[in-house]
Amino acid sequence: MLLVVFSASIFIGRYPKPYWMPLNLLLHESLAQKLVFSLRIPRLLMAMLLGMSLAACGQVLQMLFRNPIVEPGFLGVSQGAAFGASFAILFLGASLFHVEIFAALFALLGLALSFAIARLVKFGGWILRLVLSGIVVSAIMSSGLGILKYLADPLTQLQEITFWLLGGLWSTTWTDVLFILPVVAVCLTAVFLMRWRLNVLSLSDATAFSLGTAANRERVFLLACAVIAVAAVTSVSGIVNWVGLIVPHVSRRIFGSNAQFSLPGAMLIGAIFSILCDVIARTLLAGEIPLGIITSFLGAAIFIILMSRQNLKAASHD
Amino acid sequence: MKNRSLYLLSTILIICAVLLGSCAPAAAEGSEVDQVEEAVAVAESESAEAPANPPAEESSAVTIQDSAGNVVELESLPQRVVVVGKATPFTLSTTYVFKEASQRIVALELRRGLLTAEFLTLIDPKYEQKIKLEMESSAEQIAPVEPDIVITKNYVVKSLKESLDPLGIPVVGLNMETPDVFYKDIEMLGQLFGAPERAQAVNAFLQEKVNVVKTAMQGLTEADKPSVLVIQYSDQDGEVAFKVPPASYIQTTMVIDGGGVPVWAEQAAEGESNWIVVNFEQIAAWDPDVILVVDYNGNPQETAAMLKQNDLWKELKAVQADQVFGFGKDYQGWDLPDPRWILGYTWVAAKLQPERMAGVDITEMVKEFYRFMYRLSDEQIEASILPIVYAD
Amino acid sequence: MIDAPKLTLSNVEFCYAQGAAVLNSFSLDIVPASITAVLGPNGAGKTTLLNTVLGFLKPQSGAVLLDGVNISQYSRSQLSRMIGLVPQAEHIPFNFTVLEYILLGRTPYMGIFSMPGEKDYQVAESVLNLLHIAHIKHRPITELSGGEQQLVLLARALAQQPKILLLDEPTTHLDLGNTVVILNALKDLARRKVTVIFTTHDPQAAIYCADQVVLMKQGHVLSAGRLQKILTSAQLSRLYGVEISVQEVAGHPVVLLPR
Repeated sequence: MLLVVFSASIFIGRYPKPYWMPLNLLLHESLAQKLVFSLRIPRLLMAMLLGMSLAACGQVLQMLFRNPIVEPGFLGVSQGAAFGASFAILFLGASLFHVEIFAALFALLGLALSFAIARLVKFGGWILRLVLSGIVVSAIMSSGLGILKYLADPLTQLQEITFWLLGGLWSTTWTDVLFILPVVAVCLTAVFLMRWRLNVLSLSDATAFSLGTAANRERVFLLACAVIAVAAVTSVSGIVNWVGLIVPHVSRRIFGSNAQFSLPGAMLIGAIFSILCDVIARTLLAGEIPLGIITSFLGAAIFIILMSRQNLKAASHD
Repeated sequence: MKNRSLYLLSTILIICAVLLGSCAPAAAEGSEVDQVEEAVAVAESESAEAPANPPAEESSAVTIQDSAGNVVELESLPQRVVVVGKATPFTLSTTYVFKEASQRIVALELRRGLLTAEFLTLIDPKYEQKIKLEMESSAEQIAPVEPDIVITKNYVVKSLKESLDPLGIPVVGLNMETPDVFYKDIEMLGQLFGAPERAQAVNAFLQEKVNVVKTAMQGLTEADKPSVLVIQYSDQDGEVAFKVPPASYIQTTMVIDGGGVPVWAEQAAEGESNWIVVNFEQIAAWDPDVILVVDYNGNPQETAAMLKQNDLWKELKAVQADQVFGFGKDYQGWDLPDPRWILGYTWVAAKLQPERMAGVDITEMVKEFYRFMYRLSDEQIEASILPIVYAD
Repeated sequence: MIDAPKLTLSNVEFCYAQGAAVLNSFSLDIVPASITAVLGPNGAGKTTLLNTVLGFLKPQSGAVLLDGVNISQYSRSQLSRMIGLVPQAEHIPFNFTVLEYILLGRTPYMGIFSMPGEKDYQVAESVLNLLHIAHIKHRPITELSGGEQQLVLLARALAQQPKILLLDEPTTHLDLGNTVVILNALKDLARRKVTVIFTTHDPQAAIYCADQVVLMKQGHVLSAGRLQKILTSAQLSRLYGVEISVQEVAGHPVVLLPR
């Protein structure tokens, strides 16, 4: 299904007219070919990577924290990545290598902070505490981002910040893809291979121990992989919310909670969703719509539908 | 242990925040104290001399009305003028068209970046002695300078008035966004500086130049009008973006009056109030005859040249016909709400309809502009302005 | 089957980070291939004891020895193939199916990057049959009744094929019917040479299936030995601090609470 969506998306864009580019044109006109090759395909690939990383990270976070209402954007991971990336760009020049490293660093820091603060908070159940502290850390990182922009931008037109805060793939080039792909591939492969283990690691500490895992070490490793993948894509695309939240839910609905199937499912669905959102972002209007807006809109809508269905199901069970 | 490290971390964060916050004002305040004393000394010696341009009327009541309808009544002409608010480069450029500005402006808000400081040093010998306020100055920083009146950009007037009215400090705003409103702004400054003839002269100068373009365009048919795209290139913080200006901005007027059809205006820009990001596909779909490349941060001509080399851009009609130009700019872009709009206006026309505008020499016009508006000598213009004019 | 290993606790001291000692000079020899019931009032340290035997909690002094070797010498995977734990209850917000949940018990035999294979599925199926829960194998665990959940937890531990099985209050939340099912399963395990240790605060459960009994109070062993010897009125009264009487009815001891 991913292949279908991917191939179809190659033909959708704003050239020569919105929305559909005829195959004929693609075969014969050099501008169309260049457009597709240098612009659309890297963008589609990046959207795919973005969707896969966010979904995988969301699934990992949800299982390891035993909390179905978390995602990288809620726990300061995406915001930390954006902050780190901006920081690196402003103070260290825009070498993609540095940018990725700083993004990863601050993303991990964001997660660690969220977790640490959640442990400190004294009221509410675990789920509530984690969400609250995640909101706090996200806010800290976002405002850090704002401060960076303010200090650095001579015209004080904060519109550049919309790129970071709302996400967008309009400046994706092949260089970006080539830099991000290896990092994401390695990290996601590790997560993919450990998907059965993820089930075990979602159990209580004592149980995980009794089943022979080095629970804490393995969890940290998994988290690190997932977060680094997200940080890498976020450093190029800005903060994109909601994908990491709803895609794992949908995947678990379809494939069951067993991460053996629901993790790859999440990655697939994430990729498809992300591509679709990006297609809308770049095609619907002449101007580019920030990607985060589309994912939030669609994501929130789907979330509401999911949640209300859930209630119905529970109600009918009694 | 976790408790302790978290407290440590938060303490460090708080300390950093406090340091950052206090750094900027501390620096400004230090110099401000020295400069207040100097400026007061200077102002006193100034008012001891007879003003170079005596006000036309000696009556004590002065009424100033800005383009938004704010009315300020003063007992006498304001001697201590302060310029603040967003977009101070434009506000200052416009104010300095009047030579009284050099004497009467006692403090101004400086924005980082842009070449404002260099420009002002060039046109105002007293620039160094003026008090420099920090960005986004609040009433607390403005009031100690004891202004008689504060000039700012029109959209800042409301919020500034809230804090300055209780202190009895009047505020007026400059709009500058379209030619018609610009004339009104000049008239207002004429009232403010007590120099209405100068105001008339400036407006006459501008209108004469506008008429040159309008006359040249007479008889132009739709078929003669090339399709035009104005695009801003920015590669700030790691992302490359192409943006088009909203339909309400001055670039649209420049293109229409200059004999072209602004392709982006209907589709992308209706009702927007900020630059809009577009991707290259959209640019290719428009495939305009002429592309004007704006670059506020660099050299537009180099940017245009770079784009012309790009594989994708090479497929565009405009590149193939060599009709891609870096938008005119010297200290500031010529497409901004600033007196230089007239340069942009004329330059655009010259690019779009070169035969009709053949009689106009842009370089001469630049010289004339700076001579008339800012009272610069030819040597100064040769030395400082021409080298940084990017106007193909 | 291979001989059950001999488990010994020797002078184990354990306390949590802030508190007082939970296990105090705790020494005990567990008889292999038997069922040992650990009885004690709430707060006696029973769960801590189990976690220490498991190796999850490390004692501050003293040692837990398996066949004479300190369990800290064993690698994690070795230990997990020998000792299994059935916790009192578990709450997971994910709806794994019963089969998937039981498969988790096969983890000790799987590498970090592997997926369950043929053999693992076979073991899981046999455990399901052993406990007579094969009919619910595709049900999500979130929809199980308390008794079914307990059975599933037991099934998961059994999938580990452990030589020593630890159970934390396995019958506390169960009705009599389910209690009998569990306790019968335990008896069956002992027959297969698995050493079973379970904690409970219900002497009747001990009576039903245990060979050995340990009375535990405030972190140490009050007395330990064969069921008949230990489970007397005097001992139980001392343990719980209330008057308890043990009578024999139809050849089995029965615990009576004072009226």
